[in-house]
Amino acid sequence: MTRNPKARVPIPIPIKRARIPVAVAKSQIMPPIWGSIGEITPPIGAFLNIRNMAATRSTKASQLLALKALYEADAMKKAFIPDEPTTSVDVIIQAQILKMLMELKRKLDTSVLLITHNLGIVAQLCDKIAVMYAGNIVEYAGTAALFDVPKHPYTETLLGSIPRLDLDTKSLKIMRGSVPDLINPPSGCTFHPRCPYAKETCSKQTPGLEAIEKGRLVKCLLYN
Amino acid sequence: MSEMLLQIDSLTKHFLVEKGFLSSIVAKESRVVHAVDEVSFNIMKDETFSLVGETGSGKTTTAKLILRLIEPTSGDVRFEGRSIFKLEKDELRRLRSNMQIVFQDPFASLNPRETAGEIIGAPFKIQGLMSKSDRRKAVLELLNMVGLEPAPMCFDKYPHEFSGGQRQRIGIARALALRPKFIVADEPVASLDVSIRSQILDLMQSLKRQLKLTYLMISHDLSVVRYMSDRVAVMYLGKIAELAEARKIFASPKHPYTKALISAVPIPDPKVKMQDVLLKGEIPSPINPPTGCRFHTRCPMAKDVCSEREPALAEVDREHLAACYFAQ
Repeated sequence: MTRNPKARVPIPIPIKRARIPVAVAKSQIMPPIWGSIGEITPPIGAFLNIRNMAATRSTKASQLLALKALYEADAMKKAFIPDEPTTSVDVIIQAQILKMLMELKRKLDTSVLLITHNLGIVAQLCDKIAVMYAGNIVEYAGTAALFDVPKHPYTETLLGSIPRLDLDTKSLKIMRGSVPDLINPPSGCTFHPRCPYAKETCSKQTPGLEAIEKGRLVKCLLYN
Repeated sequence: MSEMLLQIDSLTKHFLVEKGFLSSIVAKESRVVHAVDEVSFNIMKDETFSLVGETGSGKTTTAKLILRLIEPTSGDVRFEGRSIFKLEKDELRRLRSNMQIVFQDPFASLNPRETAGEIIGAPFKIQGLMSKSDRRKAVLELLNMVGLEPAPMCFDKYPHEFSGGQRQRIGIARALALRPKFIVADEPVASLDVSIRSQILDLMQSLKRQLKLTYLMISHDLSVVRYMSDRVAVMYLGKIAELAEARKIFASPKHPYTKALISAVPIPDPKVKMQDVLLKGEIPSPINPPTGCRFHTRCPMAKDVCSEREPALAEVDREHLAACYFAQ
């Protein structure tokens, strides 16, 4: 789930009036890039680019107002894509925004494609999770399954590297290395330089995103 | 066993807000931002003390006052017993080598036109203590200490050639150059990718042990605060609402604001459900803070007394302070 603003992965999304196919739930998964979606203007109407709003006090209120306006304009007919809706927002306002998102989803019976790096939000809000790394989906699973037993080494290390507010954390897992260079990405599996389980084949062979059980996909040579 | 390194005593900072030309003719009063009001606490040697709060809480202003980056309206800060506001220029320069800061944004806090070697070597240059070759040796040692290897190669690189995490390491190396006793870490990992935060936190912990450092950490990320801190002070609108050991404050918070903050944080575990946050509204303006207890306008437990008289920060449990009449 790294976010690289410079990444430009082409997205083949057929756009029909007021309908954006939400790729995550389908069997053929396309690596999406949300930045391009921002350039699509209404009549889709379902995209709200909260990320670019300035993080000042008054605009927090306007974020909530924008959500409210969209709701009233009935704009979120089929899909709603909040992009990092809580980054650079204070904790209390974040909770208010999350509550509103959950209510909107319930009231409108709409699909929500939430983009975030906040695993707390994901755990509380989402039914299914697609973990992305260097432009690829590396794992896809239901929320409970993903947090219970993460399969991909990136997911596993990431989950272990986050301190908990509700528990005493003795030590954190360390993800070594840096965020990958997307201009010259690593060969084979793009995660291999940082992977605690990497073998020689990992730098030579690119794993496919494959089903390891019903409703679970992993992109890793450990499972291929 | 532990001695006091810093005493913060009734520290206050009010900023004047300049009114526009017309309105300053019409209404003579100038407006005041009560950024920090009568804040008192101590920081013990070798501890990690965290200041926690939302925007407008005054935590960053407090840190700047402690480092004397800005002058207080009133109150005092004593480092090893001596008031930092009464020091002369020479003494202040010596003090500065003992108190350093790591900034939040590793991009904005590094001069893009200087190499890592120049950035980290700047404190030595300013203090005027070393020859160029000694400086280079010292900088290489610091680069190794913060894990920027190979050091000679990193020495000549510019900030844009490093990743975010590496730039933060440069910032940390710069702060360590003069072997300070005390470091303020202002949101040290907030700007970093989630996957590398634990690297930097781990580095900070090991440097603390190695170099016997005392940290003041400013953060809004409560999970990081719990992991890193010995003691925590929660700030609201320029005042301390609660102060206690990290484990105690998060396991059994006493102040309603602390309770609201904690319940607002989504836990990264789907089995642990979020509770309802009972707070209404937004943080009031620090220009006209509410009367009495500043939190009363949003507090689910507020009674009449809360708007009339401000509660003092008092002990509600052993070594656990809260500013609330109904703390429990």
